[in-house]
Amino acid sequence: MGERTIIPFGPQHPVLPEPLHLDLILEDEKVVGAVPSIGFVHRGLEKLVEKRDYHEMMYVIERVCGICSFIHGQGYVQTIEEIMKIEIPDRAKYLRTIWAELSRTHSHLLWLGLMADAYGFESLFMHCWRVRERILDIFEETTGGRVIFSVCKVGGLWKDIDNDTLKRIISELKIIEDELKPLTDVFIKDFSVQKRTRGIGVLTYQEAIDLGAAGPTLRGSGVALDMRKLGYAAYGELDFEPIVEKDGDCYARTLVRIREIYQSLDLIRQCISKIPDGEIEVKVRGNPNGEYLSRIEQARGQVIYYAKANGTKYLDRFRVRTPTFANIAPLLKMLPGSELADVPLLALTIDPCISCTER
Amino acid sequence: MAFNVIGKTIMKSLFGKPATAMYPIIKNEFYPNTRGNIENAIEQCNFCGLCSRRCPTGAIEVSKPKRKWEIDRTRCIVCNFCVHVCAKKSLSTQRHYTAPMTDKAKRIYTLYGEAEKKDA
Amino acid sequence: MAEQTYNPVTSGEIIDRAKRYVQEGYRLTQIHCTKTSTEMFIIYTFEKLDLTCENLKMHVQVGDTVPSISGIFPAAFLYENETHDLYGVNFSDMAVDFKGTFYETSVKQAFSMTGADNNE
Repeated sequence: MGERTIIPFGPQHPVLPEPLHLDLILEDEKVVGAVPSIGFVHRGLEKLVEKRDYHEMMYVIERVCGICSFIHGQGYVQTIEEIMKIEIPDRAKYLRTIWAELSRTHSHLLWLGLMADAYGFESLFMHCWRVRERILDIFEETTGGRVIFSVCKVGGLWKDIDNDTLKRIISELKIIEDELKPLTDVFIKDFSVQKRTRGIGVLTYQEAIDLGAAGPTLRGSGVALDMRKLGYAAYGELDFEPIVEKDGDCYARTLVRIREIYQSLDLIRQCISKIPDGEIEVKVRGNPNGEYLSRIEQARGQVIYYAKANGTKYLDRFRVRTPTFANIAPLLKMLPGSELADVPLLALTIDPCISCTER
Repeated sequence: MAFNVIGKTIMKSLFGKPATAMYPIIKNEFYPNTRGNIENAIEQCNFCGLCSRRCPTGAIEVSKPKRKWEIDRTRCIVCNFCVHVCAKKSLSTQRHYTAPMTDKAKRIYTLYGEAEKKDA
Repeated sequence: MAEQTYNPVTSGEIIDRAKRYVQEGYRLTQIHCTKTSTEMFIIYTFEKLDLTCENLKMHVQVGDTVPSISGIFPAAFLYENETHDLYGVNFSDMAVDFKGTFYETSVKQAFSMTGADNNE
């Protein structure tokens, strides 16, 4: 047994753009334990619901995170609509699904780039982000913003996408898919990439369930749990199955995300072929009263929103439980036994978004 | 397992056109929907103050007696909520972004309405 | 979506209830605390792999000590530390106890005050 050393990892680290701090307990080069501490960017956004009315709050919630911004907004308005018993028009549901799936694609592409960066494959990183740029362009064209969209509102949407643009999006998706294929092949087939990802940070099926893992981390361990199966928005009318990989290592988690990108592109095509014409919003009257806990699927995993309203225009409490928070416990399970050099990679495979986690 | 799977992509980008544009020479084209910055057609504004009350960040200040409409460009998050709530439809979102500034005082953008018109 | 129920639970029963959920194949999804001007409670959410979900609601006060369920659901320690740091509810026998250093906020137990308390 070697001597034990404690190495602080983060919050500033060249690989992780997120302020995650881990105290790594090492024996020689092997990690034997890790203690996380977060709270570096705790902004108390949840507390702001007491001062902003529930319409304005949508814009604040969307800014919890810069990557899953649309899905945060969607989750928030969905929770409020559930409390107020508002049924939004079908077209709005489909449009929300399209934007949510585009968000998922762009988040996964971003993650693939960062993953390549984590094992030093800089050119792959840039190629992934080049493809991602096309999705951001679709966003800017349809919503007006590249990362913060501000199109959701309680009772529907602010903006519609006309059918010509929808057609153009389909042809754009074809280009994205063609450009993506050679890049994802690198993640799947390349020898040196597999050297860094295969068999590293294994999380077994039972551990993933017990530790409350979420999203690709969970599905990479063989658990077919996808909140989209609840059928919120238009997901109930679309044909898809949760993507599952058995191995539970870094490679499996990468594969889940790659296959989810293609699945998302397929879901967008399904949405565009099925989208009905009609209104995109309903009138909202009165103030919410009651409580609701909704679960939806973000790019990073299951996210939980809980809102408690008291009949005034200010909510009593709004709670966001982000997937990264749920994935910290599995990360702590993966780390012991790994090499120090693999720690950034492992921290990255849960797709950490600490700003999200701390709100 | 295979070696050098990315080779083809590298060759393509080696001989292809760059993915980025030479920025100051070639300017990015914005879409009609792009949310750049908030403008106020002051002659239509009735200084009701609805935009300042509904602004999530409190960037807008309106004073009815002074007939003044003021926005702090650095606080504004261009969420478009003021444009949606404006009863007179005098607010609009422009396609271009706020230009960079070297002087902090310039972040505040003030417009005055014509005072005499109302009295007349 | 279906109506949601929040089954009431007391701090004495929580360990037994959690054990029963483990046997039925549930996993812990989240724990969070809510404080309004009139009440304060902790909600435990459990879900099964077939997407069914159950909620438990436990009424507490600031400073109360609640038995930790992190011995049964290992993931609980994060949520319990969070609740402890932001709301000042103590948990006994946590699997990993950060002793108030999980969230290092400048104001201790920042969320245990509601807007109404601040105005007083």
